[in-house]
Amino acid sequence: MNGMRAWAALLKKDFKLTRTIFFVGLVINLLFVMLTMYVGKIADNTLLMFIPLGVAIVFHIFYIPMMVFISLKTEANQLHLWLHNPQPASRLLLSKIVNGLIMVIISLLMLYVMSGLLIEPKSSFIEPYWADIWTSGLLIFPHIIILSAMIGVCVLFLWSLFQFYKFRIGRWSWLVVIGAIVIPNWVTSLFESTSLYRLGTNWGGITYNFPSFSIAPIQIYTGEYLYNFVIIIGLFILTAWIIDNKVEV
Amino acid sequence: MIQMTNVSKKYMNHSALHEISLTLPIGKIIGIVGENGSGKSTILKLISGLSYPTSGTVTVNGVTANRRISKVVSYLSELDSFYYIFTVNQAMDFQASQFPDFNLSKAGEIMKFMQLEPQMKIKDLSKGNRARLKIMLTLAREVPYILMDEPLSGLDPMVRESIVKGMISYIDLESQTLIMTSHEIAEIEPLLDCFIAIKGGALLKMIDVEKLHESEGQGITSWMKKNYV
Amino acid sequence: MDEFNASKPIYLQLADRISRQIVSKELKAGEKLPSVRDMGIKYSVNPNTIQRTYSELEREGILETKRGQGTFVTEQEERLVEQRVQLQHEQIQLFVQVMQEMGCSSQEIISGLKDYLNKFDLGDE
Repeated sequence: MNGMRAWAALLKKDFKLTRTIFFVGLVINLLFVMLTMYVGKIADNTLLMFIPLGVAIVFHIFYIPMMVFISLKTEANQLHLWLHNPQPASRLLLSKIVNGLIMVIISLLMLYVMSGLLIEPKSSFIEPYWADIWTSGLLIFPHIIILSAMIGVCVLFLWSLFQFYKFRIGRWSWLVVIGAIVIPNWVTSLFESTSLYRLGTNWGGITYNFPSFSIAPIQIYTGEYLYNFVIIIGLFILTAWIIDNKVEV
Repeated sequence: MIQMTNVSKKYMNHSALHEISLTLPIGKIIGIVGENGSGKSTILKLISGLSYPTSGTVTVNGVTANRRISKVVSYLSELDSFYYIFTVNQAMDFQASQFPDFNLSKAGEIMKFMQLEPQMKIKDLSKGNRARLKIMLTLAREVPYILMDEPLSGLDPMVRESIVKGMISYIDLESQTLIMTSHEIAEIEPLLDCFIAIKGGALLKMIDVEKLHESEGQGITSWMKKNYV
Repeated sequence: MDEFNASKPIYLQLADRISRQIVSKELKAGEKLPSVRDMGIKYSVNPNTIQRTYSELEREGILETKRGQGTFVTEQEERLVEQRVQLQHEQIQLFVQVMQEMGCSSQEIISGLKDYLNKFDLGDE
């Protein structure tokens, strides 16, 4: 009970640290919606008007990493304040991710509702595409959120690595961070091209068809989700361990 | 009991502490004195588990210190340590939510004693009041070890006096130990049971203030003048 | 904040102060002293030091601790009289020692003291 209360207070604090940017984000959303309305007025092709909205939605991939980074930047100014806390680092970090998650969901929900309102008057035009739009929405929104959370965890990891090396190699710790981006990327892309990887992950396939979009069906595998999930959880645990045992102020 | 055994600390190619061994018991007010950069702050960071020794061990109540030793250690940094989004009251509530041992009624008393306005935003507080708030947040915890890094430095005499009196009023020497660093030795001398002189990262002396009087016939201030050159 | 002399332990300096307050009747026989903590706050001194001061004065028989009630000035008047004599003696000894170091004879000290007191009394009235 006590632990839950302590964590809720952390989350509230993390929200307060980032709320200004959160509200700025909502205003930017509004601007994109207005842009969409404007394009809708001047363009003949109705689908074209959804390009700004689409861009806004896709940019949400960077939402959680950005929030996490801004939040961590505030903490880094007075690291002792954040770290002098009896809660395990996993909880401190989870609060930052969950804060970003809540914000990205609200932000996307806002765009979703707004685009719904925009689509309504054009429903006759949309009608033939409706089923596919629904499916793609179902595919795109959760994936943006998942991807965003994953990159968010990567940001946590890189940041903790930077904090760890800061006192050891000083300004060169940026190189470590860059190395930590490049090398694992290279290694995983090598690994993902092996047949072992395909053997391990190509199961539980789901195929999405978009007959009205004139694109090829999209094939996804449950195994791949599990693979990414395990990597992200592992990275998160490693980050928490670094912060609990290695990071200094 | 806090125990440091052969503790050395290096930052890149700079040595901050060299082979320090100390045992600090409960029920004392202990001062760590020495010039700037002598390693005083590093000792407190090591005890609070916010830093790790390059070699040697630091244990608090038998447990090797890492950041979660904050369960039994209350640490005050010499830097400003607040979330500026908070008011005084919110900072207190946040502290209480994170530390189950935080005594809210004691905090309220200290706040009154220090004349802090609960509704004030931290970013609007004067330097002196921010220092007082920091003391309140650290001192209201009922933990065995309270560490304060330069709690008096850079403050005017009025604020220093209220902080000193606050420490005496709210520390419980039956169950707590207060360890503070300071370079204002004369001012803290009457507060101390024991002092530790650190010079260039090495332990120069650790002795009870009273014993120093018995053996050398002088107080810390004059001892430092003679021996800390 | 009260300043202390660096050449003598603070607990003994405080013991002297309290002792003088008792002799001058600032603190009366049987009067309760502030708690260790309150006294510490008053002088900005570590409560452990005050505890040592109280113990020292108890040992000398000037203070008495009643369990659960606090620390009091003793009600044994003869001990207080004795203390008064002792403090006087200490001060006179100090004074005479300084005078002798300056090469004053006992005659000179006595007459000098008499003159001073007479003058002081006249000026006072």
